[in-house]
Amino acid sequence: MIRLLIADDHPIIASGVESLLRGTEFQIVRHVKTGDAALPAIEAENPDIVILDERLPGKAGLDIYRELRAKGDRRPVILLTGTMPELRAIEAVEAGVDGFVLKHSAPDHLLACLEAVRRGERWIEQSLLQRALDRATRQDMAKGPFAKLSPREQEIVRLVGENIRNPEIAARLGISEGTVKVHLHNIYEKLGLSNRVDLVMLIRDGD
Amino acid sequence: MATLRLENRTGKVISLGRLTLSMFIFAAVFFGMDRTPAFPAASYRLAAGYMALAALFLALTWSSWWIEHRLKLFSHVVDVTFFLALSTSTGLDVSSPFFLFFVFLVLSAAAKWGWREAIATGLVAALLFAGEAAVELSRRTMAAEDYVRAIVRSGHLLVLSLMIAWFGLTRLSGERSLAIFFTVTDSIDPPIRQALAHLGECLGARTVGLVWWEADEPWFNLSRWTAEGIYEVARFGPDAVDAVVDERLEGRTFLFDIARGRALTPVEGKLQAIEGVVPLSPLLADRLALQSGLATPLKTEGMDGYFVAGLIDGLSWDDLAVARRAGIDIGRGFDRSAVLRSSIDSAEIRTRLSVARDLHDSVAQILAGIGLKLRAVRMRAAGEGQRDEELAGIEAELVQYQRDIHDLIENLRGPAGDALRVDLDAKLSGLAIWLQRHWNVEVEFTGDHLAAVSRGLESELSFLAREATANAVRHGGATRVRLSAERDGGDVVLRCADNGRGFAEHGRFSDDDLAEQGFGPRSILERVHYLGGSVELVSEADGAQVIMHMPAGTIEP
Repeated sequence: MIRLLIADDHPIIASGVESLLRGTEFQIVRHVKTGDAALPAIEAENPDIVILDERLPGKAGLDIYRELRAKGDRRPVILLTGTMPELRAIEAVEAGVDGFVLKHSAPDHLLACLEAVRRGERWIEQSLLQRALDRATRQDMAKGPFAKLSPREQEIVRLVGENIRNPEIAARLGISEGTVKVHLHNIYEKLGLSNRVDLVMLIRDGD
Repeated sequence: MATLRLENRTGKVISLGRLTLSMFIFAAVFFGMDRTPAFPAASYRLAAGYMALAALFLALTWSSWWIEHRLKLFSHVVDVTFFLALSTSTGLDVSSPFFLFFVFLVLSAAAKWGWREAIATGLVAALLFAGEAAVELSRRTMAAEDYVRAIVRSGHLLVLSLMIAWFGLTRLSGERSLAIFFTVTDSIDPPIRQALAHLGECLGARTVGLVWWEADEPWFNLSRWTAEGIYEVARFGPDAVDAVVDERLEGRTFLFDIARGRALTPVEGKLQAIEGVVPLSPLLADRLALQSGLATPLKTEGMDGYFVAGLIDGLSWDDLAVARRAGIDIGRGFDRSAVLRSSIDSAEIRTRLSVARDLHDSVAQILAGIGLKLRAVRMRAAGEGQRDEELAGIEAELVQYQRDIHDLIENLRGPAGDALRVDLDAKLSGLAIWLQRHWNVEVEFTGDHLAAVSRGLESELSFLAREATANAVRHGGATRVRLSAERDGGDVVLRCADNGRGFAEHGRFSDDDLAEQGFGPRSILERVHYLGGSVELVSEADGAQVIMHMPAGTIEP
């Protein structure tokens, strides 16, 4: 029997997970509804696997995970979350969470995730992995959509991404403000964008 | 055809006044009215010559602000000379009605240049008059008491005419307010069209344009308004325009004549004529279809630019002050509008985040929980053929709704849909499959390679496609729906054609027709209008077509 602790403020999720796991080797031994209650409950119950919602009253799921790791607790942790800003989700993956499942795909994926984590493997939602990969590609100016830009244009894109205004970009690159605008115009044309907001969004991918 | 417009036409009023006075003087001399001039023949020729000159000045300056400016000093010297000659020919008689011409000199100087020039003119004319009188006194052709009377009388006239001029200038400096209050709309930000119409009204201009740019964007944007109701926008890359205005005119309000390479602009309170200049970018002038007119700068927190107005009857230097004031007022109006827009955006973002949070914490969680429970039931019902199939169908529907809710929450949390990165064709193709399953009718989608539209626009188009399909099935009894999305200039056009029984009325209806007759798909009309688009409707007994035009961004030339 694999003992689970679930932290989620929505009883229907906990009861849904319980229904799904009924008859399997996984068993929920404790359900807490706040982030603050999670750590004491983990200490008290000593579960084999912890399932955390990200958006909990009090502490967020990822913060609870970090506190556990900071204390040297290495037990597997799965984030089970509804929606999560992309950057935050990638942060969670980079922080090393063992499992990441979106609630709307939980019926298909939660069991597979639990099985993998139990075996000591990591299981991350495929869509999130893809987005993380896309992001890494975009950040590398030599790949992705920015590959078609000249080195000078890529340099300007990098500075725009740092929220630097045109006069400052011109000063840093030793060119006129008008030349910066010409480069920006070419960048927009090549990337099919219509304004700076679009460019910043493309650089940051919505975060 | 030019019309007689004297408001803000100082030069013309002076020319008309000069001609009218010269006609009175000529009539007085011709008919020997009042006192007999000392030199009747000379007075007659003088009055006739001056009247002819006054008529010539009026004719030359009537439609040319440039000649008006160039003749300003010359005509004034002519006026002063005439006054002195007339005074001499009438025997330096201060009680002569001709002496009152002195008032014209002072007032016209005040209107042309200002206070100092009015004093100078009055003093110069009075001193010359006194000098002439002194000569006559020394020749003993004038009595001492008449000389004193002449000095006192000319002093009275000088003071009185200066006071009249002062009152006039004081009133003028209070310039009527041209303040403009813009209506904040959802689709116009900043409210350029309103501003152009306002400036057109202030100046009596039949064409007004605004070329504007933002510090951090490469584009030059051009908006053109005409009194006939045309409004166009265009955008140019930085290579297309070398300089919007000549560097000598940067930041200035000026009159321009491109064909003759002339401009007239106030510098430190004085009008400065500049020749051999390309006052306005030829490309912009060409797009505005203006060869002459006036321009005034626009400066706001977010954008800079120039208003360019043309086709103004009797354009004159007075229009410079009006345009400058209007430009400043409009700039402030834009800033006020931006602040209001920002407040509205901020309120909208708060609402969106609040709705997203509520959706996430309620509907999304409930659906996720039900999904988990449903899967648990399915797992237990495995092998029960028919039931498993039904449960799988319910689960598939549920998963689709969960994804929709998930996307909706993401959109609500997102940056108002500005990022160009959504594949519209892919999204609407997927939606068509879902609509087909949901409504159990044939739904087909045809795309137009729209692979990168804003997330916000995609979300709106998806809503409209869902709504139009639902209307077709529920109200029109359609069994087949054809959806298509295509680019049309600056719009994305979404069509929903069905084989149902059409709307209550049959025919082809424009957006105006639908508004006038008060029928049509109400929620679609509201949504499309809110976003600045329009709807066409074709309704027949064997089907209907709803054509939704949605603005996708600025139109590129």
